[in-house]
Amino acid sequence: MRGLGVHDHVCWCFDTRAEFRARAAEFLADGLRAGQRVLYIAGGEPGALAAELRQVRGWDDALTSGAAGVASVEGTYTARAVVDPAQQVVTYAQLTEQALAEGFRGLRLAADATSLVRTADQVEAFARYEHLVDSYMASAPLSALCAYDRTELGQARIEQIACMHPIANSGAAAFRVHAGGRPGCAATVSGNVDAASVKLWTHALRWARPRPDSDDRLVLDAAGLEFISHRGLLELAEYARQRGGSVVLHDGPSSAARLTEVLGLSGVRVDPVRRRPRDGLRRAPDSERTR
Amino acid sequence: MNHGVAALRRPHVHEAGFYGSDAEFRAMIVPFVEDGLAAGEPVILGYDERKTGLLQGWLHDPSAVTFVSGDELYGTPARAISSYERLFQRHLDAGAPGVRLAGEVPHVGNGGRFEGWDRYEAALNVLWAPYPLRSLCLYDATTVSPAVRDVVERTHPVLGTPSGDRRDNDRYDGTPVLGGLASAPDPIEASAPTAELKNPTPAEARHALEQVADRRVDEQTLTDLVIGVSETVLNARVHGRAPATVRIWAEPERVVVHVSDSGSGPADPLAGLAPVANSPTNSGLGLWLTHQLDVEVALLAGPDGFTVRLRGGRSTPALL
Repeated sequence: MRGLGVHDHVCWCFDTRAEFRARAAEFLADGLRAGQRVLYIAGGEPGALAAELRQVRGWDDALTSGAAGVASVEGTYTARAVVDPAQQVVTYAQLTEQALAEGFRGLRLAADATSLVRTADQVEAFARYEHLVDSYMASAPLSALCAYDRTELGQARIEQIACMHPIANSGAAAFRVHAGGRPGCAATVSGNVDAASVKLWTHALRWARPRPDSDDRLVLDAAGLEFISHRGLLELAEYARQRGGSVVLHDGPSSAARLTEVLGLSGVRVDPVRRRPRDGLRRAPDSERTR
Repeated sequence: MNHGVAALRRPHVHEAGFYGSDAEFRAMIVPFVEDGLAAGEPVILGYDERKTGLLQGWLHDPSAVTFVSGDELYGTPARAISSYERLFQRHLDAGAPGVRLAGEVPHVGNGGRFEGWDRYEAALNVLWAPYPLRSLCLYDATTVSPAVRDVVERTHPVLGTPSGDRRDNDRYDGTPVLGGLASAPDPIEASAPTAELKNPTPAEARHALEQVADRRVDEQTLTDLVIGVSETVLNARVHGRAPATVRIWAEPERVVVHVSDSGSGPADPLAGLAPVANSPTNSGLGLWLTHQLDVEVALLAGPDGFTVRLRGGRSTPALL
């Protein structure tokens, strides 16, 4: 979990609390070295949380100076709380601004958010929040490691939340819908959308809510999109149609272009079409990429 | 006129004939076209460049006819069905009382490959049954193989002759058979596959194919194979009986893929030739979509299970 930039937004699914602590320690140690304020958020008493990251060099001094802080999930949210997506982003934007005002180079969070996605209502709101905060992070010096306990949540829940992050551990999400990407694109889509994931794809589009531009075109950065099935394309076309637009998959795969042609899908265009690399250096399948 | 002939009273009259010369071809096709135009029925003709040229010289008013390029139209059986349907539906929607179609499917005798077209000829009797169509399939008797002639005689309810006779065909067998003529084994299948996957997900099958087939075939063919393997693996997992197996053979300019399961294959003998209408899950669309691609698709049902074979790139010599 080292070497991530000031805007990065990572989903990390863990099996043990010790694993989460180790990843969080790496991520936050990097932040301290880069002059960022860091915040560790997890379940437990603040005193115990502060002690959990003693392995980080200079941690105690950072806590004293205010360069590092801890927060208890229970202290911040009531049990089964459904977050207000927009308000949650405002809160972190204010904390980021405050860190900058106090001379830090940004804010970096490592949070165990397991308790915030236990119910369907919670996921609905939190997935929306993840997309909004991702949009904020794309242009502000806020970076986050959002950690989720796989053993408690199960794979299906993990996939729901991992698909809203630009980076996730291997196998956590078949596809991803996130912010950032090429200027002029309403969102970025990557990975594989096929039969196994098309239902979630429909939800993810509605959580992210990318909007058509002034020319009624919903332009998505699809440079990392490996494959999208005919059903995935039909769902996407329908999503855009309901918002009065047509879809442009910028730099999308040739298979998507071919499927739109064969199906005669007038509401979807792949432009430009991404060709396969012919230099012998094949990209790893997107789902296998991790950092 | 042949008003007493039972098959001629159906909405769709599917007729075949054999000609031995250009003169006989002319004697059969020209009245078919001219009578149709005189009755206000739009006519669609799908022939190669040479025959299109002859027809334009023979017809009273060639501009009244829709000529479509035979090479393009007859890329695959499923594409020919969709293309013709789009064309005749447009005319019917515009109020035409009926539509006439004539064309020549590929077989060794005209430089093509007949595999898969037996299913096409049989399927038209079912798929187009409700439409007021007359379709005329003329074959060159001097080049058509006995096996193809046999299929033609079993799949057309009406037969015509150059002298103008038309009759109910006693040999007509109206059941479309899945798989149709037994597809010849591909020689490459005798060798060990380049890659073999047990119960792969569609994504795993796509990735394996992309790795094995990269640089073996052109990019467009590889793209079509990737779409096809994805759809057929999904079908095998959802509709077939486990285990599902994918075998890929790759050699320069050619890739052959088998997607197999131990079930008996789709119950619908027309599977792949027409999209399944009104299906809430779009099931049935995947196999149809695969048949629309620029790859050769064969459905092979055997005692050990059901296999969809996809072949892309250079063809093996045609046998029929």
